[in-house]
Amino acid sequence: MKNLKTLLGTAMIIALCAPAMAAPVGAVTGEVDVIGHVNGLCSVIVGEGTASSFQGSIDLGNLAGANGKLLSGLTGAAGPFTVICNSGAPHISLAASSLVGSVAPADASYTNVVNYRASLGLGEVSSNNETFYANSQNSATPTATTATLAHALSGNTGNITVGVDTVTAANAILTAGTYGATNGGVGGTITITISPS
Amino acid sequence: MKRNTTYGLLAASFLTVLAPVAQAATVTNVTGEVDVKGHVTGICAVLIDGQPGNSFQGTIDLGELAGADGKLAAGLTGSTISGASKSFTVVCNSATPGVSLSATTMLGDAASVLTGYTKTVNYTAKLDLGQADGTTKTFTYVTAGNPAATTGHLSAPLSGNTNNVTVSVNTLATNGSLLTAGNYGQAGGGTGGVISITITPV
Repeated sequence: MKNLKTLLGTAMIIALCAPAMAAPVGAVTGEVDVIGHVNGLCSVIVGEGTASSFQGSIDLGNLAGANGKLLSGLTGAAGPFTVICNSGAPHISLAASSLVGSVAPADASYTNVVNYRASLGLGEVSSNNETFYANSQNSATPTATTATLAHALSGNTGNITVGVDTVTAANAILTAGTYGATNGGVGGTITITISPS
Repeated sequence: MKRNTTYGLLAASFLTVLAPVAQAATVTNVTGEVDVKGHVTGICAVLIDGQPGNSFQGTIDLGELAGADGKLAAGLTGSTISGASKSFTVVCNSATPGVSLSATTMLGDAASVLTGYTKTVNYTAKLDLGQADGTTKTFTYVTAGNPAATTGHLSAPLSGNTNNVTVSVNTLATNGSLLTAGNYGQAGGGTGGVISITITPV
């Protein structure tokens, strides 16, 4: 048994030292292995630079019609933004919080909550496009829509768009005031994460 | 000793292979945030058959003003007059809408007034507004003396219910003389008798 281990050990040493053995006696050989890697990466392109996040704003304007209730046909869009990912099929996450007005409703005939559908449009390689949707929730931590893209993200500029449509509210009078966290109200935040696969 | 050296060489080789893999596992995500905002401008609107408008109009016909004695009918001098009201549906989206109420004395269309007669009829205009908290806010205006408009604010948002605004007339008054025959009030062919209401979002 001891002999077998010795034999195997000798064989490994011979195998590992094979190049050295080809050199003349007394010579020194060297080997330098060059390696590298590319980390999975998604990055926002801003001008000539890069960033790890993008930010936009969608102002839907006056939400109420002359009857005090939600106007129909409200839509908005932000972007386009330019994002690069170096992986085959990036992952996305999309979540949206409902718009809440700064003034609480007086009774059931009033409301200050406005829901909407957020969309995330992505330009992919070979002129493919995909759009993902998330219905807003009246929550600080709305449930996200998650998915893996069918193709690699396009390397073209303006490959990301964010939109709002299907704006809804209870059949009630919208309280006057400001809606959305950046406007003095609450909510109205669309959160997107794009990750390399 | 030789065996230890061999194992050490092998272990070093494994480390060399494993190290690049650990570095490649580092990934960088992109996050985005789009802030949606909007606003609701303060408004008040009249709903007529569900359609919004900016004014309402109605007529309160008090009928025969004089009693059998020729003077103001007793049934019109009380604090309530049956049927002397009109209701409207107004929506306001603000917290405590402002209100202004005024009215003009009702005058008959007679060209002249004989001694012992009158064609001037004053009254109290009343405005009741249903509030979202279930209470009613009331404003009144007495036409005699043509005072400044009664103004104020609701104490709560206007109710979103239909017929939440009611205008009525009560407590008619004259100087006690006989009423001159004729038509009274602008809409009836005389003059005056106009109740003006303004409701503003505040």
